[in-house]
Order: sequence, then structure tokens, then C-alpha cells
Amino acid sequence: MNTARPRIFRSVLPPLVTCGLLLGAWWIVVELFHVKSYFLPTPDEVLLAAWRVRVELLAGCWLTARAAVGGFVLSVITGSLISLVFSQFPTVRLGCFPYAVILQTVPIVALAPIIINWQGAGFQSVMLVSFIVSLFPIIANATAGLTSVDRSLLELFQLNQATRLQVICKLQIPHAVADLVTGARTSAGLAVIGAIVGEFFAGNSTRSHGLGFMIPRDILRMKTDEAFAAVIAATALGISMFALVSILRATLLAKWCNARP
Amino acid sequence: MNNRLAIRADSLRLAYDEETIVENVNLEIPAGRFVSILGPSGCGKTSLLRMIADLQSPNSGELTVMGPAADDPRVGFVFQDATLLPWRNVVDNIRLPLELAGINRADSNAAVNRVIELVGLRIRDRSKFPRMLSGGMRMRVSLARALVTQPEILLLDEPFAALDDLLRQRLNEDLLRIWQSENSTVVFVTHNISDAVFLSQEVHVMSDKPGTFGNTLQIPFPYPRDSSLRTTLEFAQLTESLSSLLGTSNP
Repeated sequence: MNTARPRIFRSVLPPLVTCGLLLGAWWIVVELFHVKSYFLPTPDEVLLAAWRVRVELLAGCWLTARAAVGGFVLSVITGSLISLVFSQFPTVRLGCFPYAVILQTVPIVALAPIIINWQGAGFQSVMLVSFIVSLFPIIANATAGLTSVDRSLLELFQLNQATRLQVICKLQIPHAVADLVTGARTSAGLAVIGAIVGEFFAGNSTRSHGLGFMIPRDILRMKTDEAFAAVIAATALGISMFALVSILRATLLAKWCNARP
Repeated sequence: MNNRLAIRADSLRLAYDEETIVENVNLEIPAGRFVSILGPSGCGKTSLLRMIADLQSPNSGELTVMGPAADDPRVGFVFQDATLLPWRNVVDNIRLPLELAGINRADSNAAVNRVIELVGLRIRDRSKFPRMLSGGMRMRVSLARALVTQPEILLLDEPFAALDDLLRQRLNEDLLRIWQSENSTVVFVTHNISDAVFLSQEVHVMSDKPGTFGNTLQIPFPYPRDSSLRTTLEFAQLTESLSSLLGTSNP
């Protein structure tokens, strides 16, 4: 306990101090230069706004979270399956991987209106955008993990007359878990970004509104403090999803993720 | 020991592209022997071992393992590195060959426990993961995994080369004890002259570029052998003649 305490202080205190200083600077700048509240509200105004619209904010958060988690889960499943195909059929991988990279370089903001044109506005379209944005890191990392198994380990399986299925299930997949999780951490953050961008364009037809719909609307209404509150909520959502994957990595998946030096 | 040949190689040749790795390799190893293949680094001794293990096919020549009738000889292979699955603990790493052969856990437990004891692993190490083990322990696990199928032939590719002298000597002694109790044929690849003399009944000396066999030296010492053997005059003479066969000036 005596040794643990200073370590916690050392890792938690500095970021907290930085946070406090930044908030302080923000507040001082607004007060000192008499910045108009619709241009930049003070931190306490944002906090008050968040409390004022808490019901809508939480409902929006819940909707965006569902779209982001849905897109993310879809990415993990689809991405893993695609990687599995890539790892088993090198010709398919060579033929398709360049296009997976190109998919990654297409600015999703440009693609989102087109998807919505096909799909119509609504939750499904938002989830689809989130899925497309978060897919690539899964494919890239899982494929790398599946195909980078140590040669001598493959030979060990060959020596024991392992079937192809045994090599996949007992060697390639366990080996790729750590890489998949690395990809999933990137993907989790991207899924939130995708959901927000999707809602910019397609969040207007649902009964409740996601965070990505609320931000531009609040700006148009000059309710900058409420827009800030929504931005902070979206950030918190991204952090939560990243943290969730990290917790999963350290607990359920620790056996596969901590294994490598 | 019977007269059956465990391994018979007849003018083996292996080449990658333009480079010949081994050429004109002839080798006869009777069943039950402990044989070392001694040669400088890069002489092709590992390639030869891999051909015996059927991990690689020779470009030409003939190779018979456990007689022409044996279609699937049980071969155990110990790599230079321990090559353990990092996500499996000691027991499950050792169990792997049996698991791949479709033997269920209940039936493989006895075999796993037997080799754990055989290689000198402790009960409390059973559930440890490879990253928690020292280099020597990892090699013991690797050895146990190779032994768990009760192989007719055990192939070892410089297994203890990365370990310090003291530890290597201890594992050498354990290996001899295991060989005597298991009654299998052992082919031990090494570049260490005194290890080859200490362990084997005969030493085949390989030269490089391309790798081929020159001389074979019989090591007459009886078993069991222990480290005091290394201080005898005969031991010094044998290492001396091996090192001159290898073309090095000093042992």
C-alpha cells in the first residue's frame, strides 16, 4: 500500500494538474477578453448547459453509443472474417488488400452522404458509416497477426501432422488475438467518430437525436454551450469505448495479449 | 540394442537455387544409438536434421527413417529455441502433440505427467506460462513436449546452445539419463566439441560448403557418464582429435 500510493499519485496527478491548468486558462481568457458566450462559453457555463439539457444529452449519448457499438462490433466480426480469408488464401489477399487500403483513404465524410442516399437517413445508416470507418484497422491488424506466426511454430505443427483447421484454431487465431485487440482499440475510437459523422448527415429522422445531430443544430441556434456539452459527451463516449477494449485486453484476453515479450 | 537402422541416408543432396547446402551425405544410424552430428555453423547440419524430420525434402538421394516399411515414424524434434506457445501454460504446451493427434485430455494426462517428471520439471511449474520461466526451464518444457509422444527417434538441433555452460552441462546429463530410460534413437546436432564427446556413442563430423560427412569417431566411454568424465585424459584426447578433424587449431 505504501509503495502503491505514490505510484498512483505520480500517474494520476500530473494529467489532473494539466487538466486544471487548461480549464483555468480557458476560463481566464474568456473573462479577460470578454469573449461572447455564443463564441466561446466558460467551462462553468458548459457544465451548467450540460445539466440543463441532461435528459436530451443522455438520450443522445445512448443513441450514438448504440450506433458506435453496433458499428464497432460489426467491424470486429466482419474484419476478423475477412482477415481469416486473407490469411488462408494469399492470392485473395494480394488481390484485395490494396482496395482495403484504398477504402481506408477515402474520406468518409465524402462517402457518408452517398451511403445515406442509398440507405436513407436513420439509425441503420449511422451504424453503417460507423462500421465502414472502423473496419480497416481490424483487417490490417488481424491479417498481420494471422500471417506473422513464427516459422518454427508452424513447423512444430507440421511435425505433428496438424490439420489445416488445427493450425488455424490452435496457432494462427490465438497468435492473432493480441493484434486484433490492438486494432480494436483504434477501431473503437473511430467507430464513435463514424457514428458522429453519420449523424451529421443522417441523424435527423430518428425520434431521439444523437450527439452528432445535436452539435451542428446547437451551433445554428447559437447555443454554443450546449454544443460544447455534446462534444464533451462524444469525447467521453470515445474514451469509454477505448477503455472498455483495454479492460477486456487486461482481463478476459490477458492470456493471449500479455504472452508476447 | 537391435541391429535395425533408425536412419539411413544415401547420397543426399539439398540445394536452394544455385547454392548447394549439403551434398553426397551418407549416414547410417542404428536404432537406439546416441549420435552427434558435429560441424561448424552453417555447414548444413540443421538442414540434414530437418530432412530426417521430413520438414524438408532432399533434391536427390534416398532417406529412410525407421526402415522402408515404417510409413509414419514417431519423430520428436527439439528446436534451437524452445518454440513454446506463449498463451499456453507448461502442461498444455507439453500436451500439444497429443492434442493434435486427437487424444483427449483425460487420456493424455498420464503421458504428460510422466514426461514432466522425466525432464525434471517441478510440480509448481506446471501451470506457469513460458514468459515466467527461465531459458533452461523453457528448454526442459520443449524437451518434454518432444518426448510426450514416446518418439522412436529424438532429433535435437543445438537445443542448449543459448544456455550458460553450467546449465548446459546439467541438461546434457539429464538428456543422457532420459535417453537411457526411453530407449530411443537420439540425433544431436551441435558445434560444441566437448558436448558431442560427452554425450554420444559416435560423432559424425561434417564439413561445410557444401556440407558433407568426413570422419566418424567412436566414443567408447560407458554409460552412465557424469561430469568427472570431462577431466579424464581420454576425453581430452578425443576432443583434441575431433577438433583437428574439424580443422580448428585448438579445442
